Amino acid sequence: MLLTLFGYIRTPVQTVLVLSTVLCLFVGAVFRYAYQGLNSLMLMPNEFLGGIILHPITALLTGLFLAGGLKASGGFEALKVLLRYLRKSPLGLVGTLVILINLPVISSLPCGRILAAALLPLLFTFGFEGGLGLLTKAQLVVLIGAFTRNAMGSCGPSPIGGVGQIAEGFLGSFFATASDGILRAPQAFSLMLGTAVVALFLKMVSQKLYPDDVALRDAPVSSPGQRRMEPEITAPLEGYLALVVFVISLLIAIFQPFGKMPVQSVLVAGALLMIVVCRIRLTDLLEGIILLPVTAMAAGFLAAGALAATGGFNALGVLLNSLVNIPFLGVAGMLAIFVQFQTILPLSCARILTAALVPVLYLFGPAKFGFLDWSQLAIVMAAYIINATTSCGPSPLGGGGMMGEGTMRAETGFIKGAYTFASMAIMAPMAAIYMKFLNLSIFQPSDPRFLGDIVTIGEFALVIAAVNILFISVGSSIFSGNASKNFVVQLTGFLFSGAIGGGILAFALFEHNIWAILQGTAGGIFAATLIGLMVPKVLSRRMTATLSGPEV
Amino acid sequence: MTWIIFAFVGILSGAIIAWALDMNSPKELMQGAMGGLIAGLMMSAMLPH
Repeated sequence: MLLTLFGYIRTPVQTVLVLSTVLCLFVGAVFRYAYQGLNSLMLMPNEFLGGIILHPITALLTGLFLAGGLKASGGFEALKVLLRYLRKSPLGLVGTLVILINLPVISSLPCGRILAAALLPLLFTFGFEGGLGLLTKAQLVVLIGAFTRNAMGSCGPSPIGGVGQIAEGFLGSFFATASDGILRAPQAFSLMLGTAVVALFLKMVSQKLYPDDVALRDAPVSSPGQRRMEPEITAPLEGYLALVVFVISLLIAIFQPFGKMPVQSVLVAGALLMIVVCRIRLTDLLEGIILLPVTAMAAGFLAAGALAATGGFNALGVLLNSLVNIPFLGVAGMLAIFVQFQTILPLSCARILTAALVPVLYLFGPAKFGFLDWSQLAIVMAAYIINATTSCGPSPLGGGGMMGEGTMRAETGFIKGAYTFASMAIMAPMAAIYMKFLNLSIFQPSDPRFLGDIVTIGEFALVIAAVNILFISVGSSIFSGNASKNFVVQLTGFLFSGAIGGGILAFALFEHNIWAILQGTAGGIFAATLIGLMVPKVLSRRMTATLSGPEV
Repeated sequence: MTWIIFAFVGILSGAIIAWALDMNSPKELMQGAMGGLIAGLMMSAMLPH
């Protein structure tokens, strides 16, 4: 996987994952037969298939199915007309764009790709090449990048099969109402703030580091007296009907007013209703399905199933547990690394590793190792889950962020720095702070400390945002034409932010224990080093080498 | 309380996004903050209280 992440293996990620699965199963089978006998070997296929999670794949397929209907019936045209009215309201263009960017986390679908597939083509139209010409190339890059960031984290707080529900299930061992969504608010809060910082990072860092790696075009310079005409947009009646069906389907899927039912059933029913009401063809709906993320997810889950069956994740848990014995890391440092693990190793879907590592994290609590009490476990779960759930965004292995890069015509890796920085420096520490100072009081009513704690969250949000914006600004002012120097500057910024993030996490867990905060800081630096080193120094040459071979 | 904290983060993130989009006149920053406020309140409405 690492060789693929760094571009040394030049085959599709799906192929690599399937080959890894086969190899893993073969090695696992040999060891099982040698150490546990034939019966254990016979059980392995069942364990392998049981480890494969199908829910997100089917949710993605049905979401894309419904979005295909919206596209075929003119629903996007109807949305453009509505957005034009909203733009002319007191909110203006920018207020409308801010709502659009945050729409994924508000709707909280089980996979961010669903809404991204539906709305990214719409965002593209705001630029010159899309027709509306309302935004410049630089603005469009920020808009698409921020929206995709928000979308590729929105599966975390989803109440309908979201990633966070995996951890909420474990926290239910102590917090009686955890399944009502104990992790949703911390994730949503930190994702909104993190999205804003991503927008800033894309404007001030990514576009400076990779100025020639976005193929979008600006409008040609017109003469001063020439007035730009906005093209007239009209939508058919079927488009409005399809939009209504789409919104109603989403609301039913989220709020479940008719009782609990699978989100897939709701979305397929909505798609069928679209076929009848809007008179579209089944093939139109099928055209909405994007195969790359579906196959990448399927291959990823195959690999995860194989690792689960052969004990690979258990070995990973043991390895992470052994970090506790390193003096300068300890429990706080190990946890600071653990919560960043999925950003260090971003896969095509967060669920692949989350399903494997949350049980390991749970064992750090009172259930086994006793490193943490229940409140501390909830805090570290909040930090871990938002970091994990946003990890599909920067993944070059068919991650959701590639949809944004494709829409902005950027090279693979363009958004990686922005996405990983925000996950590491903003989202993980803010989720921990939110959980500590507000959500625990809600889900553990015996500890109500509302008002003062809300002010504390506000202060932390302001300070964390301000410090990281300062780092981004300073870095932006230092960048030059030297890619190696820029890389070092960026890595330095990552290290400082990682240190602060690790320290804040340790503070949220162990409060004024200075030694723990220092250990958390050390862990944060270690994690930030790994994350920062994975951000590509240059894009075009790397991609050219990947695609054409080293001789080019 | 969740309403208040999400209104706050919505306003903050809306203003930052507006600035990142090069829309940094006082009116545009205010519009961005208002958009963020609406987004924050909508998000809060979706959460358990």
